Amino acid sequence: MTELDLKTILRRCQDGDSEAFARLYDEFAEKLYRFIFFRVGHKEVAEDILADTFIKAWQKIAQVNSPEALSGWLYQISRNNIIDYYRVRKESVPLEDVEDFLEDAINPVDTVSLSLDQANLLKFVKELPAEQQAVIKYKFFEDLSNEEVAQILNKTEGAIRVIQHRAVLRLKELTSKQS
Amino acid sequence: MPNDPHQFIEEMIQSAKKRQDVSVWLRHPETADLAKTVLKLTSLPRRNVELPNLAKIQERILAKIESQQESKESAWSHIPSFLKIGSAIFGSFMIVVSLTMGVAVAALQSVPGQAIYPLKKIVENIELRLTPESKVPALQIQLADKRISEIKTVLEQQKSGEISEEQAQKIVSATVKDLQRTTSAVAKSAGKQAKPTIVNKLTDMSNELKITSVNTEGSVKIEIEKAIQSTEDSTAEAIKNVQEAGIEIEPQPVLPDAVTASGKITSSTFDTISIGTAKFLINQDTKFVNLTAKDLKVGLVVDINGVIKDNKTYAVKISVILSTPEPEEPTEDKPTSTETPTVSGTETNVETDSTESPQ
Repeated sequence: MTELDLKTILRRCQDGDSEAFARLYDEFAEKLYRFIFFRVGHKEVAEDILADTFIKAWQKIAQVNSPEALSGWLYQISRNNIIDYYRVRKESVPLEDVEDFLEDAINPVDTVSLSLDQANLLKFVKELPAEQQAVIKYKFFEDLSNEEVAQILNKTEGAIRVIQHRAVLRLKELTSKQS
Repeated sequence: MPNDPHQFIEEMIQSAKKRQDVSVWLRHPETADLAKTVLKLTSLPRRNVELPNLAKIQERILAKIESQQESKESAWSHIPSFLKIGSAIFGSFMIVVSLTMGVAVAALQSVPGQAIYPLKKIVENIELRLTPESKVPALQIQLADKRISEIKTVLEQQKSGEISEEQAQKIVSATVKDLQRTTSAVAKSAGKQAKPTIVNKLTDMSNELKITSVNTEGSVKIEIEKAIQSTEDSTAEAIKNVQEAGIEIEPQPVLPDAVTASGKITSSTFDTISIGTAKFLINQDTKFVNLTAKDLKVGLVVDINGVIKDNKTYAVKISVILSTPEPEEPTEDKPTSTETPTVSGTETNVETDSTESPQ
């Protein structure tokens, strides 16, 4: 979907056009479902959170100022819904971990088919500070944009680039040391 | 390393993700290790996620937001109760006036697409508001049945060339949305009033829609399939609600390809039998209970168990209910079974061959 399409669709959604909202759903549902599923690890729960995300998005779509902000905004709603889900469950997961970095319930990387090199790299990712880990996971394992990551982590895009830069340099150091 | 190292790494990541050539960075001693790290990160195998039925979730979302919109738009939710009563009285008065003028009568008989149809919806909404809460589910079921009947009428109009496929799709789409809202409301009432019979009614509607969908195609078929799906969802919700209300209910399996219909035969040939718009093909596997193939006559009241195969509906079992064809007695306020065949799904489905009389 082009930016122009997205702009038109956003405007139509803001005018109360549910058909346009259905197109918006088609555009983002799959990516958001993956994002939610990796964090709750349960199909039905992820489906419910996805539905709730879009219902809330519909109610508050007037708040979105630009089409560029839309995707990140949807992720932010998903993130808040996931946090609510864990709040209700009051699991043993420390809530601050969930709130800050949304720990994965399921690893988005297929760890079964890793080469030795890749397994080592993944091990090094786990050694990074939590914030850097989160950015690497979102950017590389889930293909999120800087804008989307910024919205999820409540930071600016510039801050995400800085964190990403530090994380990649640190991983480079760790892999060089090992080899 | 360039002046803006953050931007530089970002560009490298984007190139690696897009599988573009990064050999320049790999060759350069200052950037080689960095490029290797980025390449390794982008090449990590991803876990395959089995996606759910996203279309079904979409329907759920759209149904919800449309019901929210409706309640938002409804002035009833904002006005004080004395005004509601006043409006209801005024509405009733208007109905009486309209009835005397014949307008409301015409409206109640209108079908979607006609200019007078919106008045029918207004009359129905007023009727819903004036109905005691205990009788609302029954009225909602009646309204849902009306919507199905209207869909059939629109399909007939399309078939006869009165309206184009595009027009039919638009009208059916709007009617299906209305039907979805009604069946969803019915499902909720099933729990509130603990009425397991609602489950059977919803199952019947699914079956009727399945029969209707057989002879459709293209965008119209998609719309009807949406209605089938949402009616099945409402059935599941109704079962859950009834069970939560403490009533044991045997979930009636909705077989994806099984349909049944009951009513007067409206046409019959050596290899087809129709009840209204529900047309079944007869083949060598069709079983006849209490009658033979030769006995099939227009006006005979029968139960037909059918199966949908290759987009055609085959009659598996035909059982006679009334052995003598009844004279046609159409009345204005009570539709004949020809007009609205009762499609009863599961009760007849559970019959076994042992219950059949010898032919």
